Amino acid sequence: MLTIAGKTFHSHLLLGSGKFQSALQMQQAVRASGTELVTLALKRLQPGAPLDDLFSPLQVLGVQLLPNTSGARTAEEAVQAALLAREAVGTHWLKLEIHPEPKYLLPDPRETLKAAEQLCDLGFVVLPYCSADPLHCKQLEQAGCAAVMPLGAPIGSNQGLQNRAMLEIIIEQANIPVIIDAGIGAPSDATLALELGANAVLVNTAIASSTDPVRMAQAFRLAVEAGVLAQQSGLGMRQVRAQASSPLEPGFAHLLAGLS
Amino acid sequence: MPVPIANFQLTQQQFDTLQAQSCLPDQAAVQRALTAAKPSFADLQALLSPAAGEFLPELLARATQLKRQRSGRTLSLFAPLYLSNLCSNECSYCGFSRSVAVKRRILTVAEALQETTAIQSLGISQILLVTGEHQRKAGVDYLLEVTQALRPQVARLMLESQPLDARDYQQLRVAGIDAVMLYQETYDPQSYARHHTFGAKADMTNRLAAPSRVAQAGITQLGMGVLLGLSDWRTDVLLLAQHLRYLQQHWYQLAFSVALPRLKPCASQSTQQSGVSDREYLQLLCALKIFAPEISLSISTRDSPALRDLLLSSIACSASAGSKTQPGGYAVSPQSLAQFSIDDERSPQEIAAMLRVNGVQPVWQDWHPVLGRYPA
Amino acid sequence: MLYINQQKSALQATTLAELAEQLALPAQGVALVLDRQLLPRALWAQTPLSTEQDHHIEIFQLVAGG
Repeated sequence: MLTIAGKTFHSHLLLGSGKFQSALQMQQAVRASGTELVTLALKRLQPGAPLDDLFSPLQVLGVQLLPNTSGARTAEEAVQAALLAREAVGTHWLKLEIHPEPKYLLPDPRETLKAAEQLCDLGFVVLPYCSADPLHCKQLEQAGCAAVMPLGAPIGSNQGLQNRAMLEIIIEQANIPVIIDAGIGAPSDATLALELGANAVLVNTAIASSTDPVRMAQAFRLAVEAGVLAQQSGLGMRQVRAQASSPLEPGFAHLLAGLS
Repeated sequence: MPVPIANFQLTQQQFDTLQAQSCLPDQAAVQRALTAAKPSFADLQALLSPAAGEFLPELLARATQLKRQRSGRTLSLFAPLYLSNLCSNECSYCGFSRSVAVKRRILTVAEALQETTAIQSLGISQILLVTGEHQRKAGVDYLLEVTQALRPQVARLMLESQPLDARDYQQLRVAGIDAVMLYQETYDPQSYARHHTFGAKADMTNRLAAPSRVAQAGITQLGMGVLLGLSDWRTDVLLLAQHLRYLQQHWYQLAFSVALPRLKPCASQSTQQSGVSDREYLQLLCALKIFAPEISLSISTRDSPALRDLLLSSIACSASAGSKTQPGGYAVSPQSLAQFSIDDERSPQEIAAMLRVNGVQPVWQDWHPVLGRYPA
Repeated sequence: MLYINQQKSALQATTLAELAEQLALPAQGVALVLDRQLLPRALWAQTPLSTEQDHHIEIFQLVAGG
């Protein structure tokens, strides 16, 4: 069971709703994935354009909607977007993301922390997309965030857990859930993330851009379940050869021999 | 919004269960523990077990390598400055226990300054202020006065006193205390109760919670430890490690040092012994270092010169030298009764010379307040 | 004059609620900013739109993405 801000979820898989062929396909993928947390964006309405009613189908599926602040470049913009989202969606839950740099879409740590502090004070349940920087994650935790969402690799890159070493430290040090977001390219990446001890993963591109998103969503569902089961069953730690099976220095051997 | 603080707690049953397990790990478990990338508590248990006693060279090699990777071939030197032997606790093992008939003394600020000058003439600029535990006569106001007077003179100021509250620690931090030492003595509730029969220290729950208050006050260097011999040493060290991990998890900025003295005779208790041999002592220090390389091991002058030569050249990060463990011992009143007998009486310069011979650089100071940490 | 998402609109309404109806805004998933102020749906019925002055209205909608 995944617990965030006191709310429990059966699924440890979060889904991003973008990049799908259609709203219908997105909804089908959501269902196939078993997810209970879906991120959505807030955009300015195009006057005259047909309105996609995303609300009801997702509500029927019983998922927790997670509006995001994608598009915001500064803390101020993110806070504004959050207030709009809260009003539009009627939830305090929020995925905070501020990525002003368009090539790699990496999160801005300074603006993210600033926004997180303000939004936590405003009563939002903040899930920040952030750098895989252990100290930064502790600062977000201390600001009051409900979870941290460090990136495995740049958004859309499907490169897997490139930041593994840092993610392991984040997982070790966190007192709130760690949700690995961005870069997860294959179901095995998701399983690995959970085996490492992450509480959940967020997947978007890997599902939406595959040839058969609904089946891929199912694959991810199984992969995440496998990871969760492995975590719960006491995964044996893989041994790494210590670098110094070095012999004891001669001077020490002598001193050691003298001990009783 | 701050994370709610829970306190580290333990029960007699937890202690007894761990003690029952302590001799179980076999050679294979020890081998796994020696090569684990991130040793677990089970690995630490294995390294503390009797089976690991057969692997002392391997433990020492691994612990030494980890120490050097983290802080190089260096050893930081400090000295204790006993401010007061007034104590309101009754602790069965201590020469300053309240019922012991010893001349009680508390240094004036001027005397403390005199002692500081004497310590500095030995070359030492990192000082550990030590008091017995007397809230009324050696309380936070006195400690603040001494801290303020001594702070401009020394490179590092540490404090070992009775447990205070978070507000007191905050004031002390602002006044210039770099580190606070708080020793649990033992994590065995029954043994704790048997040895601490009177005074505030008899309250084990309060003692267990004290390090959290230091952390809350924003002090980032914490010294912890047990007195080996009060209970089963393997279990005490294991629980110390659990306590450390608990504190690390709640306050990620904390840096730890650990002191693990062995029970020794003192004037009022001439026959007490720890039952921990030199080899076992080395084993447990190495085990702790392998489990948590980021924790700094501190060695006092209670240990013999031969053992200190080995420890200070291998796994230790800091050590006291030239120590006097009575108030006024350096200059003001050198004849009075010491808290415990010193075994290694070498001066700081002699220790430094020994270190250099062994390829270790003595370090006299780390960060100087002149660099802007405290108000002038 | 009403500007909706930066474009001139010929619509006329006396309250925000009326305007929302004319635009066929969905019952949920929409946020409305009037003259740079976020107005909760609960207040739309009692928010007048004057014909004497310009009003700038921004409408935000929940969409798939991110």
